[in-house]
Amino acid sequence: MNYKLLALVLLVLLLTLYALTITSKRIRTGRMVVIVIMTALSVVGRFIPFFKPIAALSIITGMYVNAGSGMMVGMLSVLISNFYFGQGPWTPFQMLAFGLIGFLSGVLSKYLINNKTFLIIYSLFCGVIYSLILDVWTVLWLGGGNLLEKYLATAVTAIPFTLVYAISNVIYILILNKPFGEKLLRMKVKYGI
Amino acid sequence: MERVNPRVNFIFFVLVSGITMFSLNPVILCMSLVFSFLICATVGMQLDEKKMRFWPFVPGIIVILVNPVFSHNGSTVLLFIGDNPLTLESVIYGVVSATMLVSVLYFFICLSYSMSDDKFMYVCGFLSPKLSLMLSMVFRLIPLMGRKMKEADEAARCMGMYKSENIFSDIKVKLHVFSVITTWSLEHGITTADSMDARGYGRRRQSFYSVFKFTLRDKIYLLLILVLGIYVIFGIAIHKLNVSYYPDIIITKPDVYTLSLYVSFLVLLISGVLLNKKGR
Repeated sequence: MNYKLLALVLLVLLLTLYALTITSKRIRTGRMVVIVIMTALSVVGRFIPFFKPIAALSIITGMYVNAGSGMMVGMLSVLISNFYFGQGPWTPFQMLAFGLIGFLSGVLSKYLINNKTFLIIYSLFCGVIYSLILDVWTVLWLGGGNLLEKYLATAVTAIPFTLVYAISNVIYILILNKPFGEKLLRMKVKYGI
Repeated sequence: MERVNPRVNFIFFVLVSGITMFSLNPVILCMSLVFSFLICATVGMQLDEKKMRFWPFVPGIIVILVNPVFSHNGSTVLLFIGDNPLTLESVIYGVVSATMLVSVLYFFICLSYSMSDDKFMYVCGFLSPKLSLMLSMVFRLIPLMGRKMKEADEAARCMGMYKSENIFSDIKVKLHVFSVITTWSLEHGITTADSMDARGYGRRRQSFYSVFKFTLRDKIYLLLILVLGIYVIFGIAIHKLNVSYYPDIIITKPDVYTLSLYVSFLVLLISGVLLNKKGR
């Protein structure tokens, strides 16, 4: 039962700490504004039916700006869009998942920009990771014993959803990668953000 | 009398939903369920357009149904389904955790009812002014982008880009509109950043302005909430409210200390109703 406590407290601490470190550092105003805009875009994009661009936009920000910005975009857009779509105990887990996705894509940016196959595999992987992290939430909330058994069962039941996440992720990435990449690179070259 | 300071209210919800989440004590959970409902009704009633929502019961029912399927612990077997026993304990545990889930969800609904954007920014302000500034910029951009999007969409319609022959061409136009908005907002953002720099943003330590004041009444409320909440959390931490469900249901006999814990949780919840009730 105390796994739930442990997980939630650790998560909230981690997220707070991270938010504090990134905001206490002096980030350039331009970069901050870009983070803000990408966050706002992914929140607005979530209102378009069948269009859930948070993962895709965090990946793209991570790729073309840097790891910290990708993480920030992922975390902030979930936090803010959940004000419109329903806040809950799952918010920290979603924040962790999207933050991680954004951060990783920043770390791997060199390979992601140059290699399209790698990008596709990576976005499939991101959908899977997201689903697996949210399964942890489901299992912790069911409570009781046999956590591992329940986790496996949940993960297996969630396979259709995982597939939908992964495949839609790839589609959004393929659609958004080129225009957004061009725009962000142009910002980098022209204004030096 | 205006409503209480948002930070105090936020701390109240964190305490209450935390206590609800981590105690599996049926008395505590029943109180949480009733009061989460009550607070939700008081807050929701003041916002005319929002009615009481009942969706949190759906996951609750799922938990009740799912728990006996996975856990076959417990000593009282009710019946066998195939080879698997259905035990009384697992059914009861399911009901208890469903109560927990539903009341936590209601507390979250209350929180999002009573926290408007500006209040949320104020709550975040103590973490870091920069984070709060970023949040405020996002909250400003969202409606702005919505308006611009509508404009761009109408322009596309005027230009006859929507053929409505097949759905894919329409989706393509929608994506084009999204791309237009992106370019516009990035350009606009550079202007914002430049003007922030020109006004000396980031030169010195940032201060934070807000319309909310921290009055004496808020201090008293805060003290009350913290004392009661920490008292109950301490009781949970030393296993005074423990109930074990497997293999048998064992509730430790309530003594004076446990009763005092129940009473202080009740007082905490009642003060929450008062906090969220708008005066006059």
